Amino acid sequence: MRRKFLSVTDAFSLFGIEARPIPDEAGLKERYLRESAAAHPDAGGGDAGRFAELQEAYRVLGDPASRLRLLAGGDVPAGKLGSPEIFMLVGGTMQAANAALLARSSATTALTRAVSAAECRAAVAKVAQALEAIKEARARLDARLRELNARWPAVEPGELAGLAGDYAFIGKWEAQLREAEFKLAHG
Amino acid sequence: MIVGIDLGTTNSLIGAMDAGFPVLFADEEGRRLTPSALYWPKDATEPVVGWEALDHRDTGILSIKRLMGSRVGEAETALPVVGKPGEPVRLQVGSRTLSPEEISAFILRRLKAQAERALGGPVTKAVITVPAYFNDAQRSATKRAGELAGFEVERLLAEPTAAALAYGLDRLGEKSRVAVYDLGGGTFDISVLELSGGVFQVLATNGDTRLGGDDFDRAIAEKFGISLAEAEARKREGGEEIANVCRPILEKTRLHCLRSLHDAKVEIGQLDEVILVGGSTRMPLVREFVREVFGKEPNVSQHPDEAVALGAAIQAGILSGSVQNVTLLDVTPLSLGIETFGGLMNVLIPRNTTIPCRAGEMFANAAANQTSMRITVLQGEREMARDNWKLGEFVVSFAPAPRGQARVGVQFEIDANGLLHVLARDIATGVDTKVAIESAVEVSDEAVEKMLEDSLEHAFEDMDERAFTEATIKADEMLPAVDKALGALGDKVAEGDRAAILAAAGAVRAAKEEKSFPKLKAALADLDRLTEPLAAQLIELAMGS
Repeated sequence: MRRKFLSVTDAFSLFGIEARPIPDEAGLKERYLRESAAAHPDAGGGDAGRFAELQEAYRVLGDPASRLRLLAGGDVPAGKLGSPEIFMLVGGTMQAANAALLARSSATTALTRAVSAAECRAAVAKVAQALEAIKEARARLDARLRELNARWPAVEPGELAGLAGDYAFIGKWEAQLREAEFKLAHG
Repeated sequence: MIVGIDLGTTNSLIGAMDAGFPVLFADEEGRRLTPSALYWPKDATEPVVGWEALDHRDTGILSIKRLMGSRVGEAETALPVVGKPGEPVRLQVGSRTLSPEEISAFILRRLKAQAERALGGPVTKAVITVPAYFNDAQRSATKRAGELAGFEVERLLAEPTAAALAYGLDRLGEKSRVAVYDLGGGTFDISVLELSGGVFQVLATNGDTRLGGDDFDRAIAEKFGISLAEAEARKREGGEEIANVCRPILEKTRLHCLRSLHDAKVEIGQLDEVILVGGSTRMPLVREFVREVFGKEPNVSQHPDEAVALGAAIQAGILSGSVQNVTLLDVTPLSLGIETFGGLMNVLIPRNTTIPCRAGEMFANAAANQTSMRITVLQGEREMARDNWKLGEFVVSFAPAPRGQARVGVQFEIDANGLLHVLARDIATGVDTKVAIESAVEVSDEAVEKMLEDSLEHAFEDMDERAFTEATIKADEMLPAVDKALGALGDKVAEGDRAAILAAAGAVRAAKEEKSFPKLKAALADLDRLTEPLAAQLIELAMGS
């Protein structure tokens, strides 16, 4: 319910900006703040329903995966498994990171603590390496996005949906890695 | 006229907007602070509140805020709590038992009278501040306290957000990123905000609603065997001894700070200011700690005790229309979700979502003609439902229908106060019903008594068994670690040492097999002693590489 109440025109037109793969970011933020301030329940004539809708629309437009999915329309099938190499890399890295975190949290003797500390340090290096790969992959997706934006509106829904899928995977993996990076660094 | 109130753990204040500026009201003696303390003299019909109650701190009620919205057993306290585990907390006050909100209401009434005297007329509407990290029950209890005191509670406002308002009111044209480090008597909050053109947008918040100056006092009192009042005085004197006692407690705030920055996606270097508020931030030790964590000189421009109340007055002005062009976009501090199959928490509204916000979830009957389904609502960040705080339960009713055909959409709304409302819509009829959430009283009385009996009965046989289980767990932890350490260190371990370690590991395996606790214990001790040098070597190796 939450994710389906917006259609293409809604999210973009809510902020009065043109619907396209790369929206005017500065304009979007400025309008988001202005519209949110006006719709906030504290403002005279505020409207909690509209406010909630603005927040959701801003979230959708700020995330390339949901934004492109919105532009592609609802009926296009979701993308494939992103990049298989990165999938394997992230999977292995997360496994190592989680194992190291688990070992650290359950270590009770000097030796197990030392072993887990070494594992954590190794995991930190792996996570950094995976994040580097994610960064490069994202740069490639951004290049594709710019290309679609330049061609807009002569773009097939399938192209949008495919790129949306790739962004969704990259985004999810990056969030997982960042969380692991945080936990490894700060316990 | 709407007033703004800071209902603090140690002290409370009240104020309002006056000719465009926030002002605080003083009592007859000219004091703006009112201690959040209550004492009920024998045979009296009314309690003594504020400064006078401090003279009876041994029998009086202090720091009641720590128990707001809590159930018996949830929070550690020296206050005279009555009731069974899982029940809402009540306190023995003389011959009466009172809830934390009733006690807070007496403090609020006192503040109300103070404001009415200053303003020369009745005051009925208020903004009351709460720790940003307060959950739904703690917020609800605060609102109820306000209502019991005769206020219409127009808004619950997060304390660090209020402090940011006080800081930013005369900087509306500026654009900046700030963190507010709020360490009070009983609670800690950290919020990261972006200030831009009169919009105060909270990016992330974190904290601990039971961590504050009180914990310093208690630790000092314990360490030196002195009373709490004496400990408070010692704390003010400061010094290296006091710092050593307080530092580990203070250290607990570090992770919250780093977590809020991580969630806000803001680097430490991108912060323009780190603003200190809350009485405990007067301590030089706290300032030094914040400087170390954030790598910059903290901003102490705000009055530690008054900034939050001034912010509450400004928010009151926003609501009444006397302050214009200022908007607060606050967030919900805790993820909201429901318990799903397998005891997991399914997050519907992630933490740090801007409020007010809404999320929907569809429920269908799992069997033909199922009439209802019980849904458990949770707040917290853990994966397993049982590790989170149980907000309450509600029941979804289905019309008779084949399996999966009866469907009810449920809307969860967190309002601008951070309070949850649930609305259920029958998809077939389109009828909306407001859903009442039963606050979760964990277990029935009989169940608790049974649990206690069971645990006493089995205590002795458990002990041996538990000791063996613990030793086995330790063995399972040690054995693979020994293999890993020997592998990693290679020929850095002398041949003789290696043989001794392997022999000890073999003895542990054998004792485990034999299920002999004394042997296992002895073998583990041997292994521990023999591998101690390995731990140091491993760390050296890692540092060197």
